[in-house]
Amino acid sequence: MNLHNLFYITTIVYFFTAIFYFINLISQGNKFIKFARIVVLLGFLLHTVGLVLWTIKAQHAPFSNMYESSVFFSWAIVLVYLILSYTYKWDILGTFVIPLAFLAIGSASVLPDDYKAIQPLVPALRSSWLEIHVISCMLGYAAFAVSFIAGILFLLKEKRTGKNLDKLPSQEALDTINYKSVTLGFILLTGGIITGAIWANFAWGTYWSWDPKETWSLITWLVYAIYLHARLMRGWQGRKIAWISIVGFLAVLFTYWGVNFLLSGLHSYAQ
Amino acid sequence: MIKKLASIKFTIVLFVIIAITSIVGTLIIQQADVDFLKQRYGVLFQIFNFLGIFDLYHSWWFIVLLVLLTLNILTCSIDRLGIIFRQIISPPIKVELSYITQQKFNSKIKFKTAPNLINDKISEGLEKFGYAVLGKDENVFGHKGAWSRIGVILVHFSFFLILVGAAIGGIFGVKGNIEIAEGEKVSQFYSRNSQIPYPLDFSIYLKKFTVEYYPDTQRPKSFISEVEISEKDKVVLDKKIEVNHPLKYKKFSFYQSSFGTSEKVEYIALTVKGVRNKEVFSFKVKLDEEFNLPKTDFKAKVEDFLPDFAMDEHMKPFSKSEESNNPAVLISLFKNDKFYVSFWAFKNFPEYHVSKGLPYNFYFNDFKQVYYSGLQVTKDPGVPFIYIGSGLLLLGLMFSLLSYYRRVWIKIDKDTIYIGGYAHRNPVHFEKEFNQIIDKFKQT
Ligand code: HEM
Repeated sequence: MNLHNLFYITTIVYFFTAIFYFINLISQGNKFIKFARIVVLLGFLLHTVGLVLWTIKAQHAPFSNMYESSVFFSWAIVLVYLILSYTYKWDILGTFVIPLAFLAIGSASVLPDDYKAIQPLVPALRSSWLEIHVISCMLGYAAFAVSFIAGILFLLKEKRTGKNLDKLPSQEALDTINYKSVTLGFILLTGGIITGAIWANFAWGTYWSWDPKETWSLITWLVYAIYLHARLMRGWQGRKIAWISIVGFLAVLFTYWGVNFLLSGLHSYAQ
Repeated sequence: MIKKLASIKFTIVLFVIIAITSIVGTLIIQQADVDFLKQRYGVLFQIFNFLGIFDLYHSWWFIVLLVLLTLNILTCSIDRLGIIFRQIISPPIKVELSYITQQKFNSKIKFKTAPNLINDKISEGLEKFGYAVLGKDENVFGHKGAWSRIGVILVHFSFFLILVGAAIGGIFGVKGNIEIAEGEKVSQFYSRNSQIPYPLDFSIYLKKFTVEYYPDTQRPKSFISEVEISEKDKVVLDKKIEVNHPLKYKKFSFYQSSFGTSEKVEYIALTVKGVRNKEVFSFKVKLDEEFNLPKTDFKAKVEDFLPDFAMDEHMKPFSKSEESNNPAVLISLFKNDKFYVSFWAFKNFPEYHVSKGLPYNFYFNDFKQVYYSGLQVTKDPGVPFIYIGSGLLLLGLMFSLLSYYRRVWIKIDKDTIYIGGYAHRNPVHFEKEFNQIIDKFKQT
């Protein structure tokens, strides 16, 4: 089976998951969330199988170009969401997280065919440090995506009230979700930056060269370091924290996409 | 002054300034050619140049920011070190009843009769929740998550270590490049910003350079330099340098960074055909190597090789580039050891004979150029600090962020059990745990 088609199907499944979540939000009660939960698992299963087969076929982990990496990012978002929702019972957040995963894999699906082909790795990318680096960063970004959603919803609940919004976690819970996912994301991003530096040191003999991707990952890291100190030491909570998590995620998006399209540097390699 | 330097407010200010100035550095072209920058930025060039923005991350003021951050984290850590250690080593174990009831988390359980619970039993119960019980004389005291406090120390200390490592690398490190042709030996290199060669007390000899391709494709899989390191003409190491697999020797690391073909050739393959008698000879020769045309009075020699033949305005041949776009060889012919004639033969134009009228036609069939390998040479004594710092940073973050520090005091007074709790952070989670502890005692 053509693996691109498998990812198309996954995209469609996530689309329907998002629809179910949305219907659940606007309808009475929480009936549809059961469907959503089953369908998202189905999508995740397909997605996982697709990535495993892709890795076997390509003989390298699936993040050597923008197509592979977007598909993987989407997978990471769903994975982090599933883990967090099973641990903390945050199912309802899927209403907002799954559309994000859909956008990530959908943006990959509409790329021109040239960008989607399996290509052998250029010599510099053949490194296990690089693989750990990308996995760690992607999972970190995914965790930050969850905190971003929690931040947005916190601010939304500040502005509006309504029956449907009452289905969402309370502001207090959203604040906790925000913090938990930033904690997770910060550890993963730190691990990602460190393994990236180790890889760079093996490949180029410089662990840090201030290329735009590195610099932006540092900026992102600083934003979340500010978040942690403000929260843990200065007791910031609620609205201010929600705003930092939104700024943080914008920095994540710029690190991940913006740098590749708007700036140039060593990492343009990875395109 | 010191107080200000050690404050967390100052940390946040520094973080914000460093983040914003770093953004500027990603928007303005760094470390580029001056003429190019002048053209690109016009009138702004002078201002940017004055502010060091074209090499922002190495400008004096950016380094000042990093030094301030280093001092900030150092002073602040020293400031907090004692407090944190005291917090986990000598917490208030024996406390008055009023101390317990004043805690943010506190509760009491009243029994009809004096409970026959003894402190041993209570501490056992507390240990079940993962608490380390430090005292059970008059009241029971237990705490949990002390590692998260150690983690905080570790995080800041290791971040300091990383900054120190970066400074050591910046001050004592050297970076440069070597280009070695196959069969050549080098014992010095040029560092990035210096014209004076940096001597090595050993030499590095390139035996062979290979490009490995993915099967059935033109895509390179790896670039490999096979080298020998010698000291005082004795070979001490024989190794391959490959992308992502540098060679370490003494304090230096060698990285495969580029390659190319030099103008030298390893061999040249020629075919010589007799015009009249249709004799054919094949030769594989080196540059300047004489060879006989058998059973004739003629000898020949390849005098020169140009990978990309062209002529300048004085009709003098030269090579336009190092690419083999138009490979040509200059052949000299000798008759009875006397110079007879010289002419060029072209690989891409085999029928172009300058040797018209000669008894033999020369065809330049093939050649193998000598590769050169570009190695990056680095000596960075800061790297161990960076690696150790990074490892500890990650470890410290896990300790400090995945858990938190909390204390529980329990005291029996007549028919009532008083329970007090304190959490360094994460009140939401602690409240749940606190209630579970209370429930547990209510049951027994
Ligand atoms: C840049 C890397 C840094 C990271 C990743 C980091 C991370 C952390 C973390 C995770 C905590 C734990 C908070 C808690 O105890 O609950 C913390 C606390 C703290 N941080 Fe940082 N920090 C960094 C830099 C700094 C710097 C440069 C300072 C300089 C003053 C600083 C000052 C503090 C202070 C005073 C605390 C409170 C420690 C305590 O509980 O006594 N941090 N930091």
